[in-house]
Amino acid sequence: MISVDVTASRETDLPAATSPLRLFLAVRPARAVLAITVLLGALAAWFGLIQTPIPTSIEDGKAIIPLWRMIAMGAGILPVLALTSPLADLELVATQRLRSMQRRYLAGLSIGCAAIYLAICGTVLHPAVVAIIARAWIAWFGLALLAGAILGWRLAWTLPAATAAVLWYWGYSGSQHYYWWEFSARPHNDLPSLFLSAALLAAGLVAYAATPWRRRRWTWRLPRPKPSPPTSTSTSTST
Amino acid sequence: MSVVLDALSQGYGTSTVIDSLSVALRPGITALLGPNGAGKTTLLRTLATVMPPRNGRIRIDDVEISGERSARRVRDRIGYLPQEFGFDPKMTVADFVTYAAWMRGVPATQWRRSVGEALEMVDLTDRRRAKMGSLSGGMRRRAGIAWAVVGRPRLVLLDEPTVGLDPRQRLQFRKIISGLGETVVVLSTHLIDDVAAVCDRVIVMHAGAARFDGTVAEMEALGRDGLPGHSRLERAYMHLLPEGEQQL
Amino acid sequence: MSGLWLHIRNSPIRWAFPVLVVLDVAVLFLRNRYWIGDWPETGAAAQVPAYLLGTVGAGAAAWAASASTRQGVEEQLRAARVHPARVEAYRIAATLFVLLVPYLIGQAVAFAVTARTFPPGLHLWLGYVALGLFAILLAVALGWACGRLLGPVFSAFTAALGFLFLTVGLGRFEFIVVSGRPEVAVDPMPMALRLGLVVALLLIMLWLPGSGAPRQRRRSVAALLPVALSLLLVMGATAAVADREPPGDDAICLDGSMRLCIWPEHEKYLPQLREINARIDELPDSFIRPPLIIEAGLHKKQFIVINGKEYLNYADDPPFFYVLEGSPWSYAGDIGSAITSKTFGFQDLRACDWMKIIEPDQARLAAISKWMETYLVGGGRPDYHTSASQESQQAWAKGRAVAADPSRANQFRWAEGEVSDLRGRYCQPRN
Repeated sequence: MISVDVTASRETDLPAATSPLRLFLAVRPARAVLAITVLLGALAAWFGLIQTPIPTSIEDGKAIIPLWRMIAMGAGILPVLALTSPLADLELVATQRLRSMQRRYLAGLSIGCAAIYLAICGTVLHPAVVAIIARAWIAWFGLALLAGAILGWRLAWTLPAATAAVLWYWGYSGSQHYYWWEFSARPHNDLPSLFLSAALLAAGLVAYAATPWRRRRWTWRLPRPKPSPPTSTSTSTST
Repeated sequence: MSVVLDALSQGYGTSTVIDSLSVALRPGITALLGPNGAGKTTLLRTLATVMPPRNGRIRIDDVEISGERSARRVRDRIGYLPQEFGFDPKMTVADFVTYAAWMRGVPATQWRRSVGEALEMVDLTDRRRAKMGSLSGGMRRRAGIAWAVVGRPRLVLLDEPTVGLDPRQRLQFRKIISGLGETVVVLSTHLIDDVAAVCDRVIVMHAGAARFDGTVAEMEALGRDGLPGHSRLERAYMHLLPEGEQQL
Repeated sequence: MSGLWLHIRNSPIRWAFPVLVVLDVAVLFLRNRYWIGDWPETGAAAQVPAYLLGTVGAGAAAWAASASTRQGVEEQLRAARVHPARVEAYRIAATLFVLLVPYLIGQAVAFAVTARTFPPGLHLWLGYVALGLFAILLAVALGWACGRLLGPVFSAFTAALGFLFLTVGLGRFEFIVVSGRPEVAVDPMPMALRLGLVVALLLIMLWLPGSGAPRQRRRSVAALLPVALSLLLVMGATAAVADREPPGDDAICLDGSMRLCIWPEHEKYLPQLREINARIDELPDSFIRPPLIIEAGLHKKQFIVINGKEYLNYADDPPFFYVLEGSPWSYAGDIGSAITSKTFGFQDLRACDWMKIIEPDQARLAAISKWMETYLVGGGRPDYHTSASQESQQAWAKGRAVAADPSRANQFRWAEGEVSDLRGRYCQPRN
């Protein structure tokens, strides 16, 4: 066996020790996400109360929707987009260390983004409106996690966008009333929509936690498709 | 370090890629040979605990890999380089390899030494401050090899590691791999010369099963005249393929 | 054609196709279906999904646009014998196929449903098809620009949200059209301008480099901006939908104690209007019918200028009614209002003085108004919601309760009594 000698003096030429957090964040768009969150918060604060017509399924086809309801969707998706990593292929062999850092990153960034967004909105918007935005944010975040876990983090916007289309088109029941599942518009103290938001958040978190090993464990009792045999009939050997 | 696969089956959807494979790996260099679609990459991904097996068992050292928790426990000991991997073009080579050292639990106080060692192995010390995006394809692959070996993991899995390397670099790669000591190294390759030069053991896979599992010398003994190939090992490889695939 | 089909089959967003078809058809049918049998309403209803598809579609277009960068084939494409613009054209065309075809399927289904009766006004349907087509093209243009100019992480997100904000921002300029009333139609010239500019935008995209080429990107953005701004200007300065010329002799009229005329495109409402006309004929003589009532827009709008401002002049026009979402309550209400207005002389300031009406009498007027509406419809509960005051709602409830009386004689007796008493208080006797 040939041994490889390491020249000890080389190590002093390397850059100074880098913190794990700095390394982790260096490959993730956390800063951009925070900056865009601030921007969306500012938009919601300045323009959020502007009402605009959108097509709905009833009442002469149009309802009025305030901009803050739309902007909240964008704010909820952002922290999930930040989970994208260019090293994803290499991070598949995710050690406990990495997963722990990912969890802390997701929790910290999402709570931070939510806090920043709601705080900026709260400078202008009524507390009841901010409460609705908070409830909707939770639901959008959960939907984004669900979409991202299934399709990839860069496609986290797909399920929220499709859900928004359904919500805003069919969710209005007329005379300023909304169906119970319209979590982006129901009154701030409405419980069913709050439970729905919490359920969507839970679904998203479960999807996030569903590694291949866990999915196998959760589905092992379900009937599995019968595998087709391989094309060769060679037997295995062992040493 | 020991790795034991017991009646391992793996696949995607309804198709089976690996069928009831039983293999025990010890320290040394094992080559995985086989045509495209034989299941080499799938086997490596399963060994890396990235994919849970459909059936069968995996044991790495004294840990039976049965779930997420046990998989994460052993991943500190695994260095895996996929055939294609992404990277952040703005990241320096040193930071790229340091990231792997951190993931693998190398103490921060030893990062410099470990990263320096890994970069020295792949002859990238001079490029340690270069951005990954500025590297050539071959250098990037060497950086990937450094990723896989930093911190001296005891199980190193390399999928087509010499793609893009020039002859000198391939010779250097052989030197690197040979110097890994008491490490289980599994490398998937199409290059018979690399197998002949450094590997202790060869597993030839075809259609999800191992058609041969033995030493290089044992495989060479199968290489008879009359089959295509410029070396005994190549002819032996052709001999191990099903009859319909033996002629060019 | 095979090059295009190759790109469609391998489009990274091809999996969205069935989802978009389902969404389009659902938006069209899981709603009020009054549009069936009315060409302009059919077209308008079937172009509504374009706004919803556009939000998802913009993101999908961005995803498709950035595919070559994500997959690392930019260099291979640049080194190909085929001109890069041609490759880009195939990619954009494939994306348009995935996003446009669901919309066109929706329009085709809507067409097939209305074509069973084939009413007049087919050309009006085509205008709305173009309107929805424009929305989708705009979404693809925005998405493609985001996909080529921004990094892979945020491009699709930005495009989806951007299209939402764009439609919202342009909503103030009537960008979103949700109904196809017969008195309006898509204006060909502004529509052609919009389509031309968005197609020009898409053509410029053929030369957009990927996000990794900063200098070329600056030049491309410089080329995009004038066209994009022109498009925004056209959209802000012109209306896609404009008033139509009245049909003149082509209007469909029903004769009776009152002449009632509608747009030829609304011939499907004739049966209900005949019933209403018959009920008008049966009204007691104390109710004065205007000689003519028309659907809105059948007479050309006239304006008068007061202090430099233009106002609609209703003075010489007959009363009119709207058909809103096909609801008989909408036109019955308007027709009933015309009759009660004539009966009580609201416009006749010489004969009546309603300025001194007291609150209880206001409630009685409201009750008669709702009785008339409910009577003309033929009974039942209204299909609209209202946020009127409690007092008004109580008055209306009283009127509807009278209309629920199975004896028409009783209803007429009550109504005649109210008319006589109220006129007696506030109007001079009729000659």
